Amino acid sequence: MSITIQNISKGFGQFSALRDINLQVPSGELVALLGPSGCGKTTLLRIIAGLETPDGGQVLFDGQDTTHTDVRERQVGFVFQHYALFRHMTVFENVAFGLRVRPKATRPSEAEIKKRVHDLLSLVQLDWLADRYPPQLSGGQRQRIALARALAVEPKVLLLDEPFGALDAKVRKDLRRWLRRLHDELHVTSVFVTHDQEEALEVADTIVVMNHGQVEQVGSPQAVYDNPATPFVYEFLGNVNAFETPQGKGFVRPYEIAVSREPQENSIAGALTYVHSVGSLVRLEIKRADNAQYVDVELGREQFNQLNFQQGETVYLKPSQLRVF
Amino acid sequence: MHQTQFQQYHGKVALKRATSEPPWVRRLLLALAFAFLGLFLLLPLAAVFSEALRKGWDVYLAAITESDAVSAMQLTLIAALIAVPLNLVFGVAAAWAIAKFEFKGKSFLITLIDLPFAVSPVIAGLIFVLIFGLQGWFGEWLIDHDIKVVFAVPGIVLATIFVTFPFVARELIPLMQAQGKEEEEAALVLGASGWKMLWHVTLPNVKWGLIYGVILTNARAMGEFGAVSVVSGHIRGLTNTMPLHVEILYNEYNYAAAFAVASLLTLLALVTLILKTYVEWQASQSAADNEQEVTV
Amino acid sequence: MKKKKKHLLPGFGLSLGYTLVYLSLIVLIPLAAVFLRSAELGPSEFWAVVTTPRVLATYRLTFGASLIAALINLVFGLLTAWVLVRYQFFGKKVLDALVDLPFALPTAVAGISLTAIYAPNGWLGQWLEPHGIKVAFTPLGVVVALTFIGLPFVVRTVQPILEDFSAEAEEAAASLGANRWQTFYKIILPAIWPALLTGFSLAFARAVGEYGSVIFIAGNMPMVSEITPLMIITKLEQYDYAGATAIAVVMLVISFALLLIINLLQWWSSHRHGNRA
Repeated sequence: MSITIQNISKGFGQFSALRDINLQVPSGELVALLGPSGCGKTTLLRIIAGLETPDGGQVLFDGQDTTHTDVRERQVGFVFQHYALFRHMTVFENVAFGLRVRPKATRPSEAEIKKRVHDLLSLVQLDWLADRYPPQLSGGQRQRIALARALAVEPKVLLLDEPFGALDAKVRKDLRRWLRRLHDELHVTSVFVTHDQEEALEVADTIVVMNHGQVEQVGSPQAVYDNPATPFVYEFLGNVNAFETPQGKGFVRPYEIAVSREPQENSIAGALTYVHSVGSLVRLEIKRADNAQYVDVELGREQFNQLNFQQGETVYLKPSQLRVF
Repeated sequence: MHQTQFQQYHGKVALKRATSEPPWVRRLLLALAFAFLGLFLLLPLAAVFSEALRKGWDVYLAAITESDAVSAMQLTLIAALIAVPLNLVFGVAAAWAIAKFEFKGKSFLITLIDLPFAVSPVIAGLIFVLIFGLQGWFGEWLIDHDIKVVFAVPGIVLATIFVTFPFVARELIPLMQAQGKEEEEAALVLGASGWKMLWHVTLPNVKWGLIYGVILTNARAMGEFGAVSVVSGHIRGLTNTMPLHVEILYNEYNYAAAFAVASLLTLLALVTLILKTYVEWQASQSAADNEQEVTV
Repeated sequence: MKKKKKHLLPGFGLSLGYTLVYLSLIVLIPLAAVFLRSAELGPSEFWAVVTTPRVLATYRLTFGASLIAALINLVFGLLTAWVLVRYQFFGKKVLDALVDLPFALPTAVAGISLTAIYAPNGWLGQWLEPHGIKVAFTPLGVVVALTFIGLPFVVRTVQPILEDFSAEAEEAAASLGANRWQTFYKIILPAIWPALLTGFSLAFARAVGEYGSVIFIAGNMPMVSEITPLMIITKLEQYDYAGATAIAVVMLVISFALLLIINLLQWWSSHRHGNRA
């Protein structure tokens, strides 16, 4: 199911959380709402879910206006940041909840519920935990149970609020890939909220970058990373060096700078103050001679070894690509 | 700035739709709650003052300045002045031992401290009669030495201590447990003596709980009826506390005077509630301050 | 040596020692006295004293009225806590503070005030009496007084749990299609159930031992509206120390059993389902 957001705004008292948001989520896509905390991404997600009512604008599911449809009737699956598993229910009962609360007429039989729940638990690879209680599970397991619970009601849209926020680094990486594969299997239209650019870049089909209640850019991970539409997107996605240029503010990625011992046309002199060499990339910190600002440069290890820069040495920088706003 | 504002509003407004009752349910619940609280809290409160002033200010003032009433007030004050500090010292000692150290039988000890709360006040009075009364264990010895405990001030004080025994400790134990012992250990490492540490580190940290414990102990000490009634002997002007004086006046059908003295006790209860609210407000303020330090 | 290492902080011996001595002097030894004195009666005599028809009638009234009062407080305490936590209304802070009134108000004051309200010529009594509803000087009056006394307990045990209850869980239930009532009894009620039970037991235990507020409104008619604590006083006034002690022992045993149940409830609520963080 496709989601269309039209002119949505939302304020909390004096604070305007969302300003005139327009967005199109095509059916079957996995979309990331990316931005710093307080940018309005969670509010937008909650408005799509029906947990929050917008002050103005419309939410359309497959072209149908659902702005004032109750959350109970919207058929969305929502995975909460802290999972919100019901702690007095077993994993099985948690997943079965959405089926058991249906009115008698549409409620599946207990046997069907049992089958459906076990299918879902197999899907998230946690069938063996059916009789445990949530406090007995690890963070990653809770996350997957929360997902299974949301999927049990066969949602047309799956919404996830910071799905990996509360997990440690290793588990987060595994779960990301797993979520991506799951989405490729199910193809349910999904929107997730994150403040972690790496997560968004790795998992999503489309990234919506948000800031101060507005959409800064929408595009594929490659598009937003390689061609940021605004200075904010430049700074938010990946490391970047910002310069004041006569034409305006200039941005250069650390790997888009050539370093040499000899001055070149339009190159900038600086002192190599620090070499950070761990892994395949070597990070150089260079203090510009003209204005004493620091510039980050990234080189491949091989290239660095060839050039063999020493700390304290004077080097010359030349950006290979510079974007000015 | 934006973020904190956002979070503040977020919590409140989020509850608005998906997780709130239909308006008619809301109104019904509110009406039922108001009816219940009105019937059981506001009405008795209003009745005390209305009855007390039924015969006018002159009768009211006469009732509370009459000599028996004044001596009842004095005795009530004396009992509270002895019981509160003793239970305060005990509460601090018990909370220190229980919150800062691990030992066997700790939860049993906590249960024992709670015991007086579970015992009927009448039994609280009875136990002291059984020990110090005429037929009591020390009865004869006390008569021989001309010491009166039961039907005298010491008995009243003892019964008061018993019924208000757990309150300070109960307030302090969870607070001190939550506080942990890092700050005390830091104070020790910095060379503070044990008493200095208690005075400058531990007690300031639990200040508000301590104050509330004292307020509550005081209110219960001044208002205790059942236990004191058993040990006092109801000797007018000598062993009557304020609540007992109320009873006597009431049984003599002197309602206006009974309610006049009762209104003083009610004012004490109201002051206690106001102080409690203030203390809780202060405690939540300082908790909020601490949290802010952490997030900033 | 080992012991010193175990306790870095000072004052363990002093504070625990003081606690134990004070506890023994004020509470444990005096309470033991009751049990020792009751042993002066032989078992058959003891049994005879605590099972006379008049005493049995006081048990029925005391425990029956306490149970009814605690049940009323269970329902209305939950309602009050709910309204105080979830709704905004004028005067909320004042009402919230007033909930503790029964705890702070001397019981004798509560007793005479309730009696004045429900007496045949009182504010409410004059309206109830013509309809044949007698409250003051009947067992119903005892229930009213005990309801007043137990009012804060359920409210104050449930309130913090309700305050901390995560909005997320309720939203999760709603997003899974549960209606408000289903969310309440399937999600919220199980979470506050231990607190409700604890509050209920506390209110019940408090009511069973209550004396001051009841004796004014009860009318204290033998076999009809006489409570057990009053029975103890009556025996004492007749210098029947042994009888008073025997009844006190029965009450103490029941109170201790209640205390045990309350502690077990609290233990259960904090340990069930292997709760970790």
